[in-house]
Amino acid sequence: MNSTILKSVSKPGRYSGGEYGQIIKDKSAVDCRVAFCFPDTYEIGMSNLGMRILYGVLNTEEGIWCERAFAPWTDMTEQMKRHHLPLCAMESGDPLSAFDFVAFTLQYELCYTTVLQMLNLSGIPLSAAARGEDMPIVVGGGHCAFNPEPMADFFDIFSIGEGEEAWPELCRLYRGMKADGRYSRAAFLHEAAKIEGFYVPSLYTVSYKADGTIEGFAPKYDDIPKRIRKRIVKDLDKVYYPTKTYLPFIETVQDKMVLEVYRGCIRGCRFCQAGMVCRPVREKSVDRLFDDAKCMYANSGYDEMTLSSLSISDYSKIDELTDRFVEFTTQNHISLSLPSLRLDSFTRELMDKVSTVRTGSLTFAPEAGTQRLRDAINKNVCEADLLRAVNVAFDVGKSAVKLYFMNGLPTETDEDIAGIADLAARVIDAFYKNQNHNRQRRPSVTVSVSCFVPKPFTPFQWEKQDTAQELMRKQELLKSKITDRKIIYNYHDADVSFLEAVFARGDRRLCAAIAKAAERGFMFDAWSEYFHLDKWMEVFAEVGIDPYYYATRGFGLDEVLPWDIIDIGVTKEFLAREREKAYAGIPTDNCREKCSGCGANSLGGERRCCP
Amino acid sequence: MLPVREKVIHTTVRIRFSKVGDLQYISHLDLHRTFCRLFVRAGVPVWYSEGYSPHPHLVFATPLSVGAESLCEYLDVSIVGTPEEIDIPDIRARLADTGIAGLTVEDVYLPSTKFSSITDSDYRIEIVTSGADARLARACEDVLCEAPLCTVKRTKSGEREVDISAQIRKVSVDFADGRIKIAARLCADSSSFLNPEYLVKILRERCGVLCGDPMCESYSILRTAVYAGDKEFQ
Ligand code: SF4
Repeated sequence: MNSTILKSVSKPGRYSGGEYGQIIKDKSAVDCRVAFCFPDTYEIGMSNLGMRILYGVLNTEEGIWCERAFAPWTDMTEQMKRHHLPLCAMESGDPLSAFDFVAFTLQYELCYTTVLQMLNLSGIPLSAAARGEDMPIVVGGGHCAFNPEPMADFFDIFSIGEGEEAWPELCRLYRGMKADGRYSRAAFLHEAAKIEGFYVPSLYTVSYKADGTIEGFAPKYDDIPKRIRKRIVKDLDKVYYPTKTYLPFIETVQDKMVLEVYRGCIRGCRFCQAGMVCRPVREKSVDRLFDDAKCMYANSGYDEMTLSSLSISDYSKIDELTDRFVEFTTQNHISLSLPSLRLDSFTRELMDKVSTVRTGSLTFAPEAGTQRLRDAINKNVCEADLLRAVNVAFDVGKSAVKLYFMNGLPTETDEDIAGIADLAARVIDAFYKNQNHNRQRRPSVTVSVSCFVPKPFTPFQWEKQDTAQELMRKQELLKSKITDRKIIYNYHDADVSFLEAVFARGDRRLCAAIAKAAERGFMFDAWSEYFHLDKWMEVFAEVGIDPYYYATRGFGLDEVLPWDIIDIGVTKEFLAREREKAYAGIPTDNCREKCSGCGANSLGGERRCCP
Repeated sequence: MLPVREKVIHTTVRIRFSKVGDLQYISHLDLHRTFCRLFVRAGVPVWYSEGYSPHPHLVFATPLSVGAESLCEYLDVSIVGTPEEIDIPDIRARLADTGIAGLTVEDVYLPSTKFSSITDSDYRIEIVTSGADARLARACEDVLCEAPLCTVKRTKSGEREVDISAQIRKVSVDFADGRIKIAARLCADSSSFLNPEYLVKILRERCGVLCGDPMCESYSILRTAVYAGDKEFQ
């Protein structure tokens, strides 16, 4: 990158590369080059575990060179446009258009315009149909790919589910077809569609009913699947893990060792997409985790390590694991953090173990203010659990607690909103009632409330979202209920959640709006300074799309949903059953207590609790 | 409850290193983390502070602005052991290959001076600009030798005009290899450190350098020596 330009932009270390652990290969010795793109800033992308895994696993293969690319910040984008500089990969500095594959991980819906800007900067046509033989194959993956339809026009292929075994297969197919002369773009896409876990949207036609709902998906060939089954790694103990990876120079969002303990979730909160799409639960053994940790430490020199998974305390051998880690981390001055602690698992013993070096802030997620609503969403925790957990914290001198809630959940009433304020007040009371409380400090409770977004593949996928007006009314209501200055109240922008719902539940017709938005120069919608709902509403109006149709309309149970083309293993029948139970206020046992027949066991693998 | 740890004897070890190429875009704060990790990977027995959050103790000699390269950076780090116990050649060997392009450990030794004795730094600034010739070089030299030499400095409390002539100890400008080449000795003590970027800024404003197409013009700043009074800093 040109030095004058680097010196003129903010944080040039985002672009200069050369990080320890990056992988440089001889271009002439590889025949498959992948540019793995993260559609957000370097600092966020470099913290992403999925990217580290795929980067590492692809680079273990001779003949494949996987590099990284990130979205340039707006000041750099402007410079690049002005001087006609294409977007390049970090390692080789080659433009993305020169690669065989350009892969994007779609982590959140509001990154969609950034994806298109990155393609624009690379000179790659946005529309998959317009890409010539010499253009890269553009592949999307990540959580948002579970409903790929709103981005269907822009991607040649979507990778559905876990990628570390699927991706090498895709590259093998590509290299094979290139080597024996069978390769053409069309022939390759047709073959790719036959590999489990790959969806080629252009090979499926969508038809619509007169009322605008989807009639069905029709594959264009007989030899490609009618539904695309997500991929899972069958045995986590045997699969690659990035124990040696790139280390950023500049500060990033999560700059530490990340040890993935298990995948999936035994819980089944009814609003949570990750809990459903990552099923079934597969764990790593304590031995493998310990080996990986030692390896990671030796290869990186990091002094922080975090254990990652959807709900760490649900790991079946959590005590054994933390016991083994305590000595190792203390000896090497590594601070160990356990995020995503459920409040019913928060014990003094656990806290002592993880605080040997450093203690972080305390965060719990009751999600709802009343027991009735917590039962409805299947968040199986009760107030007693919360009070017990905060007392553990207050006993050791802590005084600040952060609580996460959600507004706009199905069946929510004003009583449930008031319940949030009551719960926070009872935590403050608990502080003063605790004999051992810290006399030097005032207690503080931060109440952080997000807005419910009905997500595909959850029991609430059919639900309508509250209108932004209604969400704002609820936010004001809660504000009026919180009178104690020791309670700090934060809430999310309802407009942002509205747009998230549109994209999360959208179908292919939304591509027109996203393309139009990109044409207008939208990017970084996830950054509040670049988020403008009014401009989006103009775009929707211009292309004749009603965004409320996707966000605030309840979907019919018999409707074909845009994401029905994808099969995550969990059945629609199970989700519908769970929805009924939500209305009846009946919780569901977690997978360890009792299998509730969600269907994910059909995916196979070394499952922890499935029959 | 604080973990009980015995007091560990430690000694300050000095590292001289160079930081060139794309590492110029990495700040000293970033480099701090980079070195901490490097020490762990290399098995250098760094000392950790006591208390709740133990961390290594590293101090850099003098600031280096982002966008400047250097052949002579100094870093003091606390290493476990008495001066007699510390195996300097071993540490030197462990740090011989940093694995990071542009970062080279030049020397490791037990220091006999303090960072506070540093007074000046030498810089080589090279400018590729349209219209570069001997006359432009002379004009640049004339400007940089002016006293007073005023420029707007951005500080925490806002912008203010300052005279930097006293912080420029020596300066000469030549034209060679199609470039404007500046050799400057600038104040580097902590109270009156002068960032060499100001020289470029003044020349840009007053001599019209670097005002053309950024794709064809560029400049580089390289710190070549650090002084304690008249002697090179050790
Ligand atoms: S099959 Fe049963 S145990 Fe397995 S994930 Fe589904 S509900 Fe849980």
